[in-house]
Amino acid sequence: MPDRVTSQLDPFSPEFRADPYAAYEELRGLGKVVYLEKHDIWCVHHYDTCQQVLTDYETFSNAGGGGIKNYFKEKPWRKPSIILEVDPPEHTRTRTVLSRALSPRVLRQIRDRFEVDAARMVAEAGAKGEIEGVSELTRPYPLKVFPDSVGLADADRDNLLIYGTMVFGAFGPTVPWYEEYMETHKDVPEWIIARCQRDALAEGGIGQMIYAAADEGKITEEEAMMLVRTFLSAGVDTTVDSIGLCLRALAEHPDQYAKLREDPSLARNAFEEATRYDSSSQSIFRTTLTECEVAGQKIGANEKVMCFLGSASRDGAHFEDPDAFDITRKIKGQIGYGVGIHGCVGQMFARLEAECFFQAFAQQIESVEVTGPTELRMHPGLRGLTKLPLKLTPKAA
Amino acid sequence: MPKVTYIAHDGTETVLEVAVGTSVMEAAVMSNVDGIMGECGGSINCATCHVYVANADSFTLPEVGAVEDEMLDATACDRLPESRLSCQLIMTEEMDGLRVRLPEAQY
Repeated sequence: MPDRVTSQLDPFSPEFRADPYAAYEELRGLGKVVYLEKHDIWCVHHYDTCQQVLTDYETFSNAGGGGIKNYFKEKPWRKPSIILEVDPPEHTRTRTVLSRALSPRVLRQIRDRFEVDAARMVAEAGAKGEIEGVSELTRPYPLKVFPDSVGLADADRDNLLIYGTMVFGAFGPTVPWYEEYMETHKDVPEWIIARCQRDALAEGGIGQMIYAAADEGKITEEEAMMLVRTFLSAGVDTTVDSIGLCLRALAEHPDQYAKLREDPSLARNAFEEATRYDSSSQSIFRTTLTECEVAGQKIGANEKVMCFLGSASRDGAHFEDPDAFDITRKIKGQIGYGVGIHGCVGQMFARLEAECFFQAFAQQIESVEVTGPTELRMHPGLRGLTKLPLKLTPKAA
Repeated sequence: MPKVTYIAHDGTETVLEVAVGTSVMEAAVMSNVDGIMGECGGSINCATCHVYVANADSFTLPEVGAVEDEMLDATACDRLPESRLSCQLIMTEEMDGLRVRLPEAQY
């Protein structure tokens, strides 16, 4: 048996997912590289080793899939993403098209709309007072502003969430609920593809900008469709989750919420801190192309390596007082969106979406309390809330 | 160590010693220089480390790469001939004395 640190921890178990931060601490204590025997995968969970693995794309490939399945050995459930599940040089071309479509220049034009929608939805929630925060606020807001920006029609947008579950559910080991879910919703991937066609996307939206790149010859028509698909798969659940978890963190830390309420311009930084503290993307896989070494541990070729972003974000070697939620923290080297060439291409979009939301929230809401147990969604791939009972007290008019 | 001067939009100058091999963006972020965000961490994705090189003629700077070129067209403030993404300006001894102006906004 080769020398290696092993653990019986199962990152896909309900226990691990209920309190990943305790498990991360255990992993970080065990060593820099740990072999998880339950799934025969390696994992890294410190800031420096996650950085190393995520930035060395020549060794740690994305073409093997972002989840636990090894696409070098198994057939993917859908046609692989041409931006996420691909390495350079192919990756660079498609990535640049999306980066451009989500650039500061484009987002500046979108900001006003986000602000109006956020203000309206927060006001409606505030007027109700007692709400179930996920279904009445943190889910409807992204589900409104995100597809609007892409240029998607209004009807049946819940299908985006179903598709998200299909995409991110595939990150974990195959389990019965997932197979049943795929069967129940087998028409949804087709619905998505139909919505990604040029004719289905509204003028002036990000979808049409991606097709404009096809008109300029930078990508093919088929690639444009695939990039719109990527954007729709990656942009909804992640922002629903991250905004929900940030709101919970603020509600659970009244001192921090007070700071935001006094100075709503802290909204963007508050979300930046929540992205580090407790956020949607807890882990992502890479697949080794060659034999390699991480922190002195030899790893063979064609092995899956799980990078715990959520643990790297709590690594005391990089972040001072890492378990504290401090919305004034100056974060240097955010890793919550991943890093390197496969770092979240929509991160600027996510930041803007959240900034507008929390700014509106802080401007209108005097106090926010969690009034009952919150519930986590248990499908692999993403961390997010399904229940967040809240009492909102609007500011006196 | 070679030095870089960051000139904020209001004219305030900050001089930093930047280690060879470190990017002009990274050095600014690590020293809390306002006006450079670098939100993607240097992977030419966010265009929030846009700078105008004030004395580009005095140096041989690395060529503008294809991706940088695309992203420079998408910055919050207008692209000028001296525009660069500072994550792509990796410090060398020869770049000692570099002066960069920061745009009014990065996003």
